Amino acid sequence: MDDVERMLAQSLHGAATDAPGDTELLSKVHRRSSRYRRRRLAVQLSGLAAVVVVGLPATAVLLNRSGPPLPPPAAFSSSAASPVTLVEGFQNPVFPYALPPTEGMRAPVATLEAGTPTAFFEATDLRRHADTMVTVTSTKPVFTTAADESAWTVRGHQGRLRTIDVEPAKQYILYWPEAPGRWLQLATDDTYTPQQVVALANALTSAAIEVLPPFELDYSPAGLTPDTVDASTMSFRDGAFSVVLRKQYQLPTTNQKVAAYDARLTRDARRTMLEVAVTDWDAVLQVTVRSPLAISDNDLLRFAAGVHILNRSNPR
Amino acid sequence: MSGPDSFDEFVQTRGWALLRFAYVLSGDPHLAEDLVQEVLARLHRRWDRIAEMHNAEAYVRKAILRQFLSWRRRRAYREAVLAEVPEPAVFDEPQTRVLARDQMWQLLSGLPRAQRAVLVLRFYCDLPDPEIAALLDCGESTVRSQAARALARMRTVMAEKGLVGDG
Repeated sequence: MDDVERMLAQSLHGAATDAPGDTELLSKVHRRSSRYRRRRLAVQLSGLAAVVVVGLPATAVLLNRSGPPLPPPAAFSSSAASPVTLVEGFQNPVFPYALPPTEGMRAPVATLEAGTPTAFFEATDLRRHADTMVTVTSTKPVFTTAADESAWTVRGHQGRLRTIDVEPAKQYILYWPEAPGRWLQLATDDTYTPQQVVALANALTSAAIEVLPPFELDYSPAGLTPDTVDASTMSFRDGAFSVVLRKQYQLPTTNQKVAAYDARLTRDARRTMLEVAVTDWDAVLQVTVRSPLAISDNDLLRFAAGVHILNRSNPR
Repeated sequence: MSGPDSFDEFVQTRGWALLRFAYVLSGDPHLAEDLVQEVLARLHRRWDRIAEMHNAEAYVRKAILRQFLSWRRRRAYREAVLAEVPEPAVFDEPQTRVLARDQMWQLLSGLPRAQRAVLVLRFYCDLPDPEIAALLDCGESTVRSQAARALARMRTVMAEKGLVGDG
Protein backbone atom coordinates (compact mmCIF):
# COMPACT_ATOMS: atom_id res chain seq x y z
CA MET A 1 0.00 0.00 0.00
CA ASP A 2 1.56 3.31 -1.01
CA ASP A 3 1.10 6.77 0.46
CA VAL A 4 -2.01 7.67 -1.52
CA GLU A 5 -3.67 4.34 -0.76
CA ARG A 6 -2.92 4.71 2.98
CA MET A 7 -4.37 8.23 2.99
CA LEU A 8 -7.38 7.03 1.07
CA ALA A 9 -8.08 4.30 3.62
CA GLN A 10 -7.66 6.79 6.49
CA SER A 11 -9.84 9.31 4.69
CA LEU A 12 -12.65 6.77 4.22
CA HIS A 13 -12.54 5.52 7.80
CA GLY A 14 -12.35 9.09 9.11
CA ALA A 15 -15.27 10.25 6.96
CA ALA A 16 -17.38 7.26 8.00
CA THR A 17 -17.66 8.69 11.51
CA ASP A 18 -19.54 11.64 9.99
CA ALA A 19 -22.27 9.31 8.67
CA PRO A 20 -25.83 10.16 9.74
CA GLY A 21 -26.97 8.67 13.04
CA ASP A 22 -29.28 5.69 13.27
CA THR A 23 -31.60 7.05 15.98
CA GLU A 24 -34.76 7.01 13.89
CA LEU A 25 -33.64 4.52 11.28
CA LEU A 26 -35.86 1.65 12.44
CA SER A 27 -39.05 3.71 12.61
CA LYS A 28 -38.34 5.27 9.20
CA VAL A 29 -37.73 1.84 7.67
CA HIS A 30 -40.99 0.53 9.14
CA ARG A 31 -42.88 3.53 7.79
CA ARG A 32 -41.42 3.09 4.32
CA SER A 33 -42.03 -0.65 4.38
CA SER A 34 -45.68 -0.08 5.34
CA ARG A 35 -46.02 2.43 2.53
CA TYR A 36 -44.75 -0.11 0.00
CA ARG A 37 -47.17 -2.68 1.35
CA ARG A 38 -50.06 -0.24 1.04
CA ARG A 39 -49.00 0.48 -2.52
CA ARG A 40 -48.96 -3.24 -3.34
CA LEU A 41 -52.42 -3.58 -1.97
CA ALA A 42 -53.77 -0.33 -3.38
CA VAL A 43 -56.02 -2.13 -5.79
CA GLN A 44 -57.48 -4.13 -2.97
CA LEU A 45 -58.53 -1.13 -0.95
CA SER A 46 -62.12 -0.76 -0.03
CA GLY A 47 -64.59 -1.54 -2.76
CA LEU A 48 -67.03 0.36 -0.62
CA ALA A 49 -65.07 3.57 -1.05
CA ALA A 50 -66.90 6.83 -1.26
CA VAL A 51 -67.91 7.85 -4.72
CA VAL A 52 -67.36 11.38 -5.94
CA VAL A 53 -69.25 12.61 -8.91
CA VAL A 54 -67.07 14.29 -11.51
CA GLY A 55 -69.89 15.70 -13.55
CA LEU A 56 -73.53 16.61 -13.57
CA PRO A 57 -75.99 15.22 -16.11
CA ALA A 58 -74.94 16.04 -19.62
CA THR A 59 -77.79 18.43 -20.26
CA ALA A 60 -76.67 20.67 -17.42
CA VAL A 61 -73.07 20.54 -18.59
CA LEU A 62 -73.96 21.43 -22.11
CA LEU A 63 -76.20 24.30 -21.02
CA ASN A 64 -73.29 25.73 -19.06
CA ARG A 65 -70.80 25.53 -21.86
CA SER A 66 -68.50 28.47 -22.05
CA GLY A 67 -65.39 29.55 -23.88
CA PRO A 68 -64.54 29.73 -27.54
CA PRO A 69 -66.32 27.56 -30.11
CA LEU A 70 -64.85 24.11 -30.68
CA PRO A 71 -62.67 23.36 -33.69
CA PRO A 72 -64.39 21.20 -36.28
CA PRO A 73 -64.55 17.52 -35.37
CA ALA A 74 -62.09 16.43 -38.03
CA ALA A 75 -61.69 12.85 -36.87
CA PHE A 76 -65.42 12.31 -36.66
CA SER A 77 -66.07 13.55 -40.18
CA SER A 78 -63.41 11.32 -41.72
CA SER A 79 -64.83 8.62 -43.96
CA ALA A 80 -62.63 6.00 -42.28
CA ALA A 81 -63.79 7.00 -38.80
CA SER A 82 -65.60 4.48 -36.67
CA PRO A 83 -68.09 6.32 -34.44
CA VAL A 84 -68.23 5.37 -30.78
CA THR A 85 -71.64 4.95 -29.25
CA LEU A 86 -72.26 4.87 -25.53
CA VAL A 87 -74.20 2.32 -23.58
CA GLU A 88 -75.24 2.60 -19.95
CA GLY A 89 -73.03 1.11 -17.24
CA PHE A 90 -69.85 -0.95 -17.32
CA GLN A 91 -69.37 -4.63 -16.68
CA ASN A 92 -66.24 -5.25 -14.60
CA PRO A 93 -63.91 -7.78 -16.25
CA VAL A 94 -63.32 -10.96 -14.28
CA PHE A 95 -60.38 -13.29 -13.69
CA PRO A 96 -61.54 -16.83 -14.39
CA TYR A 97 -59.61 -18.92 -11.80
CA ALA A 98 -59.02 -18.95 -8.05
CA LEU A 99 -56.99 -20.88 -5.52
CA PRO A 100 -58.99 -22.37 -2.66
CA PRO A 101 -59.21 -19.99 0.35
CA THR A 102 -56.28 -20.81 2.65
CA GLU A 103 -55.26 -19.54 6.06
CA GLY A 104 -52.15 -17.42 5.55
CA MET A 105 -53.19 -16.15 2.11
CA ARG A 106 -55.28 -13.09 1.34
CA ALA A 107 -58.23 -13.04 -1.02
CA PRO A 108 -56.98 -12.52 -4.56
CA VAL A 109 -56.69 -9.16 -6.29
CA ALA A 110 -57.35 -9.26 -10.03
CA THR A 111 -55.90 -6.79 -12.53
CA LEU A 112 -55.99 -6.38 -16.27
CA GLU A 113 -52.89 -5.02 -18.03
CA ALA A 114 -52.61 -4.76 -21.82
CA GLY A 115 -55.23 -7.44 -22.27
CA THR A 116 -53.59 -9.88 -19.83
CA PRO A 117 -55.64 -10.73 -16.73
CA THR A 118 -53.69 -11.57 -13.57
CA ALA A 119 -54.70 -12.61 -10.07
CA PHE A 120 -52.35 -11.88 -7.16
CA PHE A 121 -52.64 -13.99 -4.01
CA GLU A 122 -50.68 -12.29 -1.24
CA ALA A 123 -49.20 -14.46 1.48
CA THR A 124 -49.63 -13.22 5.04
CA ASP A 125 -47.95 -16.25 6.62
CA LEU A 126 -44.56 -16.10 4.91
CA ARG A 127 -43.28 -19.21 6.65
CA ARG A 128 -45.82 -21.51 5.04
CA HIS A 129 -46.88 -19.58 1.96
CA ALA A 130 -45.48 -17.31 -0.73
CA ASP A 131 -46.99 -14.60 -2.93
CA THR A 132 -48.49 -16.31 -5.93
CA MET A 133 -49.53 -14.81 -9.23
CA VAL A 134 -51.67 -16.55 -11.83
CA THR A 135 -51.79 -15.13 -15.36
CA VAL A 136 -53.90 -16.08 -18.35
CA THR A 137 -52.63 -15.51 -21.90
CA SER A 138 -53.88 -16.55 -25.29
CA THR A 139 -50.44 -17.56 -26.54
CA LYS A 140 -47.55 -19.57 -25.14
CA PRO A 141 -45.54 -17.36 -22.78
CA VAL A 142 -42.13 -16.19 -23.96
CA PHE A 143 -39.33 -15.76 -21.40
CA THR A 144 -36.07 -13.92 -21.82
CA THR A 145 -34.24 -14.69 -18.56
CA ALA A 146 -32.11 -17.80 -18.18
CA ALA A 147 -33.67 -20.57 -16.10
CA ASP A 148 -33.66 -24.32 -15.60
CA GLU A 149 -36.78 -26.00 -16.93
CA SER A 150 -38.34 -29.34 -16.10
CA ALA A 151 -41.42 -31.12 -17.42
CA TRP A 152 -44.48 -31.73 -15.21
CA THR A 153 -48.01 -32.92 -15.78
CA VAL A 154 -50.35 -30.11 -14.74
CA ARG A 155 -54.12 -30.51 -14.73
CA GLY A 156 -53.75 -33.28 -17.30
CA HIS A 157 -51.54 -31.20 -19.61
CA GLN A 158 -47.81 -31.15 -20.32
CA GLY A 159 -46.41 -28.18 -18.41
CA ARG A 160 -42.95 -26.78 -17.75
CA LEU A 161 -41.53 -25.50 -14.48
CA ARG A 162 -38.93 -22.75 -14.78
CA THR A 163 -36.57 -22.28 -11.84
CA ILE A 164 -34.76 -18.95 -11.72
CA ASP A 165 -31.85 -19.07 -9.31
CA VAL A 166 -31.93 -15.71 -7.51
CA GLU A 167 -31.46 -14.70 -3.89
CA PRO A 168 -32.98 -14.74 -1.37
CA ALA A 169 -35.49 -17.18 -2.88
CA LYS A 170 -35.55 -19.10 -6.15
CA GLN A 171 -38.42 -18.06 -8.37
CA TYR A 172 -40.71 -20.66 -9.90
CA ILE A 173 -42.88 -20.17 -12.97
CA LEU A 174 -45.10 -23.08 -13.94
CA TYR A 175 -46.84 -22.75 -17.30
CA TRP A 176 -49.07 -25.03 -19.28
CA PRO A 177 -51.69 -25.01 -22.06
CA GLU A 178 -54.99 -25.08 -20.18
CA ALA A 179 -57.17 -25.19 -23.31
CA PRO A 180 -56.87 -24.36 -26.99
CA GLY A 181 -55.84 -20.68 -27.14
CA ARG A 182 -55.42 -20.40 -23.37
CA TRP A 183 -52.14 -20.67 -21.43
CA LEU A 184 -51.84 -20.35 -17.68
CA GLN A 185 -48.78 -19.29 -15.67
CA LEU A 186 -48.37 -19.66 -11.94
CA ALA A 187 -45.45 -17.71 -10.47
CA THR A 188 -44.23 -18.11 -6.89
CA ASP A 189 -41.00 -18.91 -5.03
CA ASP A 190 -39.19 -21.76 -3.33
CA THR A 191 -41.14 -21.41 -0.11
CA TYR A 192 -42.95 -24.21 -1.91
CA THR A 193 -41.37 -27.35 -3.33
CA PRO A 194 -41.84 -28.02 -7.06
CA GLN A 195 -44.42 -30.68 -6.14
CA GLN A 196 -46.34 -28.11 -4.06
CA VAL A 197 -46.24 -25.63 -6.95
CA VAL A 198 -47.82 -28.22 -9.23
CA ALA A 199 -50.34 -29.06 -6.49
CA LEU A 200 -51.27 -25.34 -6.30
CA ALA A 201 -51.89 -25.29 -10.04
CA ASN A 202 -53.98 -28.46 -9.76
CA ALA A 203 -56.04 -26.80 -7.04
CA LEU A 204 -57.13 -23.89 -9.28
CA THR A 205 -60.88 -23.81 -9.76
CA SER A 206 -63.14 -21.85 -12.09
CA ALA A 207 -64.10 -18.51 -10.57
CA ALA A 208 -65.07 -14.96 -11.45
CA ILE A 209 -62.80 -12.60 -9.51
CA GLU A 210 -63.83 -9.07 -10.42
CA VAL A 211 -61.17 -6.63 -11.56
CA LEU A 212 -62.00 -3.55 -9.47
CA PRO A 213 -61.79 -0.41 -11.61
CA PRO A 214 -60.65 3.03 -10.40
CA PHE A 215 -63.83 4.71 -11.65
CA GLU A 216 -67.52 3.97 -11.81
CA LEU A 217 -68.77 4.61 -15.31
CA ASP A 218 -72.35 5.67 -16.02
CA TYR A 219 -71.59 4.99 -19.69
CA SER A 220 -69.09 2.85 -21.53
CA PRO A 221 -68.17 2.59 -25.22
CA ALA A 222 -70.38 0.02 -26.88
CA GLY A 223 -68.66 -3.06 -28.28
CA LEU A 224 -65.14 -2.09 -27.14
CA THR A 225 -63.37 -4.69 -24.98
CA PRO A 226 -61.49 -3.37 -21.97
CA ASP A 227 -57.74 -4.10 -22.15
CA THR A 228 -56.33 -2.30 -19.10
CA VAL A 229 -57.97 -1.69 -15.75
CA ASP A 230 -55.61 -0.54 -13.02
CA ALA A 231 -55.50 2.13 -10.31
CA SER A 232 -55.30 5.04 -12.77
CA THR A 233 -56.53 3.75 -16.11
CA MET A 234 -59.47 2.18 -17.86
CA SER A 235 -58.78 1.62 -21.53
CA PHE A 236 -60.53 -0.19 -24.33
CA ARG A 237 -59.52 -1.76 -27.64
CA ASP A 238 -55.73 -1.52 -27.20
CA GLY A 239 -55.99 1.96 -25.72
CA ALA A 240 -58.01 3.44 -28.61
CA PHE A 241 -60.49 4.71 -26.01
CA SER A 242 -58.99 5.51 -22.63
CA VAL A 243 -59.78 7.22 -19.35
CA VAL A 244 -56.69 8.09 -17.29
CA LEU A 245 -56.40 9.91 -13.97
CA ARG A 246 -53.13 11.84 -13.98
CA LYS A 247 -51.41 13.85 -11.29
CA GLN A 248 -52.44 17.49 -11.42
CA TYR A 249 -50.98 19.67 -14.14
CA GLN A 250 -51.96 23.09 -15.45
CA LEU A 251 -54.30 23.13 -18.43
CA PRO A 252 -52.96 25.81 -20.81
CA THR A 253 -56.48 26.93 -21.70
CA THR A 254 -59.99 25.74 -21.00
CA ASN A 255 -62.97 25.73 -23.35
CA GLN A 256 -65.45 23.48 -21.53
CA LYS A 257 -67.07 22.87 -18.20
CA VAL A 258 -67.76 19.39 -16.91
CA ALA A 259 -69.95 19.96 -13.86
CA ALA A 260 -68.05 22.56 -11.83
CA TYR A 261 -64.70 21.64 -13.32
CA ASP A 262 -62.79 23.48 -16.03
CA ALA A 263 -61.97 21.31 -18.99
CA ARG A 264 -60.20 21.46 -22.31
CA LEU A 265 -61.40 19.68 -25.43
CA THR A 266 -58.88 19.34 -28.25
CA ARG A 267 -58.95 17.53 -31.56
CA ASP A 268 -56.38 16.69 -34.19
CA ALA A 269 -56.12 14.08 -36.93
CA ARG A 270 -54.91 11.42 -34.50
CA ARG A 271 -57.13 11.89 -31.49
CA THR A 272 -59.79 13.74 -29.55
CA MET A 273 -58.98 14.53 -25.95
CA LEU A 274 -60.98 15.95 -23.08
CA GLU A 275 -58.96 16.99 -20.02
CA VAL A 276 -60.93 17.75 -16.88
CA ALA A 277 -59.12 19.54 -14.02
CA VAL A 278 -60.46 17.62 -11.04
CA THR A 279 -59.07 20.05 -8.51
CA ASP A 280 -60.45 18.39 -5.37
CA TRP A 281 -58.53 15.24 -6.32
CA ASP A 282 -55.37 17.18 -7.29
CA ALA A 283 -55.64 15.42 -10.61
CA VAL A 284 -56.62 15.74 -14.26
CA LEU A 285 -58.97 13.23 -15.82
CA GLN A 286 -58.04 12.57 -19.44
CA VAL A 287 -60.50 10.96 -21.82
CA THR A 288 -58.84 10.15 -25.14
CA VAL A 289 -60.38 8.71 -28.28
CA ARG A 290 -57.83 7.80 -30.93
CA SER A 291 -58.38 7.56 -34.67
CA PRO A 292 -60.00 5.68 -36.36
CA LEU A 293 -62.47 5.79 -33.48
CA ALA A 294 -64.40 9.03 -33.33
CA ILE A 295 -66.85 10.55 -30.88
CA SER A 296 -69.10 13.58 -30.95
CA ASP A 297 -68.54 16.44 -28.51
CA ASN A 298 -71.87 15.75 -26.85
CA ASP A 299 -71.09 12.09 -26.28
CA LEU A 300 -67.58 12.83 -25.02
CA LEU A 301 -68.92 15.35 -22.50
CA ARG A 302 -71.72 12.97 -21.53
CA PHE A 303 -69.19 10.20 -21.00
CA ALA A 304 -66.90 12.41 -18.86
CA ALA A 305 -69.82 13.63 -16.79
CA GLY A 306 -70.56 10.02 -15.95
CA VAL A 307 -67.08 9.15 -14.67
CA HIS A 308 -67.08 8.78 -10.87
CA ILE A 309 -63.62 8.69 -9.32
CA LEU A 310 -63.31 6.14 -6.53
CA ASN A 311 -61.08 6.32 -3.48
CA ARG A 312 -59.12 3.30 -4.61
CA SER A 313 -57.92 5.22 -7.66
CA ASN A 314 -54.36 6.50 -7.74
CA PRO A 315 -53.37 9.16 -10.29
CA ARG A 316 -50.25 8.50 -12.30
CA MET B 1 -32.14 -15.20 13.83
CA SER B 2 -35.56 -15.01 12.20
CA GLY B 3 -39.03 -13.51 12.65
CA PRO B 4 -40.08 -9.87 12.81
CA ASP B 5 -38.07 -9.18 15.97
CA SER B 6 -34.88 -10.29 14.25
CA PHE B 7 -35.33 -7.61 11.60
CA ASP B 8 -35.68 -4.91 14.25
CA GLU B 9 -32.69 -6.29 16.10
CA PHE B 10 -30.62 -6.33 12.92
CA VAL B 11 -31.49 -2.71 12.12
CA GLN B 12 -30.81 -1.62 15.69
CA THR B 13 -27.44 -3.37 15.94
CA ARG B 14 -26.14 -2.98 12.37
CA GLY B 15 -27.98 0.14 11.22
CA TRP B 16 -25.16 2.57 11.85
CA ALA B 17 -22.59 0.32 10.17
CA LEU B 18 -24.84 0.24 7.10
CA LEU B 19 -25.26 4.01 7.20
CA ARG B 20 -21.48 4.44 7.40
CA PHE B 21 -21.03 2.13 4.42
CA ALA B 22 -23.70 4.00 2.43
CA TYR B 23 -22.15 7.33 3.40
CA VAL B 24 -18.63 6.50 2.21
CA LEU B 25 -20.17 5.09 -0.97
CA SER B 26 -22.31 8.09 -1.78
CA GLY B 27 -20.51 10.93 0.01
CA ASP B 28 -23.89 12.47 0.84
CA PRO B 29 -25.56 12.02 4.25
CA HIS B 30 -29.11 12.40 2.91
CA LEU B 31 -28.51 10.00 0.05
CA ALA B 32 -26.92 7.53 2.47
CA GLU B 33 -30.03 7.57 4.67
CA ASP B 34 -32.25 7.18 1.64
CA LEU B 35 -30.20 4.25 0.32
CA VAL B 36 -30.25 2.36 3.60
CA GLN B 37 -33.94 3.01 4.28
CA GLU B 38 -34.90 2.02 0.75
CA VAL B 39 -33.00 -1.25 0.84
CA LEU B 40 -34.13 -2.24 4.32
CA ALA B 41 -37.75 -1.39 3.58
CA ARG B 42 -37.67 -3.56 0.46
CA LEU B 43 -36.01 -6.46 2.28
CA HIS B 44 -38.22 -6.21 5.36
CA ARG B 45 -40.95 -8.46 4.06
CA ARG B 46 -38.55 -11.20 3.04
CA TRP B 47 -36.44 -10.99 6.18
CA ASP B 48 -37.12 -14.56 7.31
CA ARG B 49 -35.45 -15.84 4.17
CA ILE B 50 -32.57 -13.39 4.33
CA ALA B 51 -31.90 -14.10 8.00
CA GLU B 52 -31.47 -17.77 7.13
CA MET B 53 -28.66 -16.93 4.71
CA HIS B 54 -25.06 -17.55 5.66
CA ASN B 55 -24.30 -13.83 5.91
CA ALA B 56 -27.37 -11.63 5.95
CA GLU B 57 -25.40 -8.43 6.41
CA ALA B 58 -23.31 -9.12 3.32
CA TYR B 59 -26.54 -9.57 1.36
CA VAL B 60 -27.86 -6.22 2.64
CA ARG B 61 -24.58 -4.47 1.81
CA LYS B 62 -24.69 -5.92 -1.67
CA ALA B 63 -28.24 -4.60 -2.06
CA ILE B 64 -27.10 -1.14 -0.91
CA LEU B 65 -24.23 -1.25 -3.38
CA ARG B 66 -26.55 -2.22 -6.24
CA GLN B 67 -29.02 0.46 -5.25
CA PHE B 68 -26.24 3.06 -5.22
CA LEU B 69 -24.98 2.03 -8.65
CA SER B 70 -28.45 2.14 -10.18
CA TRP B 71 -29.91 5.08 -8.29
CA ARG B 72 -31.74 7.35 -10.65
CA ARG B 73 -34.29 9.17 -8.59
CA ARG B 74 -34.71 11.91 -6.06
CA ARG B 75 -31.33 13.41 -5.27
CA ALA B 76 -29.08 12.95 -8.24
CA TYR B 77 -25.55 11.90 -7.40
CA ARG B 78 -23.48 14.65 -8.90
CA GLU B 79 -19.98 13.93 -9.98
CA ALA B 80 -17.76 16.87 -9.13
CA VAL B 81 -14.85 18.06 -11.19
CA LEU B 82 -11.54 16.74 -9.92
CA ALA B 83 -9.69 19.93 -10.72
CA GLU B 84 -11.82 21.95 -8.30
CA VAL B 85 -9.81 20.90 -5.26
CA PRO B 86 -8.57 24.18 -3.73
CA GLU B 87 -4.90 25.04 -3.55
CA PRO B 88 -3.47 24.13 -0.14
CA ALA B 89 -1.64 26.56 2.06
CA VAL B 90 1.94 25.69 2.80
CA PHE B 91 1.71 23.65 5.99
CA ASP B 92 4.15 21.57 7.87
CA GLU B 93 3.95 17.81 7.36
CA PRO B 94 1.18 16.71 9.84
CA GLN B 95 -1.18 19.52 8.83
CA THR B 96 -0.60 18.78 5.18
CA ARG B 97 -1.48 15.15 5.74
CA VAL B 98 -4.76 16.05 7.47
CA LEU B 99 -5.54 18.44 4.66
CA ALA B 100 -4.64 15.79 2.12
CA ARG B 101 -7.08 13.32 3.70
CA ASP B 102 -9.87 15.89 3.60
CA GLN B 103 -9.13 16.70 0.01
CA MET B 104 -8.96 13.05 -0.85
CA TRP B 105 -12.53 12.71 0.42
CA GLN B 106 -13.45 15.59 -1.86
CA LEU B 107 -11.68 13.97 -4.80
CA LEU B 108 -13.61 10.76 -4.25
CA SER B 109 -16.85 12.56 -5.04
CA GLY B 110 -15.44 13.40 -8.46
CA LEU B 111 -14.99 9.77 -9.44
CA PRO B 112 -17.49 7.79 -11.49
CA ARG B 113 -19.71 5.67 -9.24
CA ALA B 114 -18.22 2.34 -10.26
CA GLN B 115 -14.66 3.52 -9.54
CA ARG B 116 -15.71 4.95 -6.21
CA ALA B 117 -17.45 1.69 -5.31
CA VAL B 118 -14.29 -0.30 -6.08
CA LEU B 119 -12.18 1.99 -3.87
CA VAL B 120 -14.67 1.82 -1.00
CA LEU B 121 -14.84 -1.97 -1.17
CA ARG B 122 -11.06 -2.28 -1.32
CA PHE B 123 -9.94 0.41 1.15
CA TYR B 124 -12.95 0.75 3.50
CA CYS B 125 -14.30 -2.79 3.55
CA ASP B 126 -10.84 -4.35 3.02
CA LEU B 127 -12.24 -6.86 0.53
CA PRO B 128 -9.94 -8.75 -1.83
CA ASP B 129 -10.41 -8.22 -5.56
CA PRO B 130 -12.17 -11.56 -6.22
CA GLU B 131 -14.87 -10.65 -3.67
CA ILE B 132 -15.21 -7.16 -5.11
CA ALA B 133 -15.59 -8.66 -8.58
CA ALA B 134 -18.30 -11.02 -7.32
CA LEU B 135 -20.16 -8.15 -5.64
CA LEU B 136 -20.04 -5.99 -8.74
CA ASP B 137 -20.70 -8.86 -11.16
CA CYS B 138 -17.58 -8.12 -13.15
CA GLY B 139 -14.19 -9.68 -13.75
CA GLU B 140 -11.22 -9.23 -11.44
CA SER B 141 -9.38 -7.51 -14.27
CA THR B 142 -12.16 -4.91 -14.40
CA VAL B 143 -11.81 -4.33 -10.66
CA ARG B 144 -8.05 -3.87 -11.02
CA SER B 145 -8.38 -1.51 -13.97
CA GLN B 146 -11.12 0.56 -12.28
CA ALA B 147 -9.02 0.88 -9.13
CA ALA B 148 -5.86 1.70 -11.07
CA ARG B 149 -7.64 4.36 -13.11
CA ALA B 150 -9.20 5.98 -10.02
CA LEU B 151 -5.95 5.93 -8.05
CA ALA B 152 -4.01 7.35 -11.00
CA ARG B 153 -6.41 10.27 -11.25
CA MET B 154 -6.16 10.91 -7.53
CA ARG B 155 -2.37 10.66 -7.53
CA THR B 156 -2.10 13.13 -10.38
CA VAL B 157 -4.31 15.73 -8.72
CA MET B 158 -2.73 15.25 -5.29
CA ALA B 159 0.76 15.56 -6.75
CA GLU B 160 -0.22 18.68 -8.69
CA LYS B 161 -1.46 20.22 -5.45
CA GLY B 162 1.72 19.23 -3.65
CA LEU B 163 -0.16 17.06 -1.16
CA VAL B 164 1.81 13.89 -1.89
CA GLY B 165 5.03 13.02 -3.59
CA ASP B 166 5.02 12.03 -7.25
CA GLY B 167 4.92 8.42 -6.24
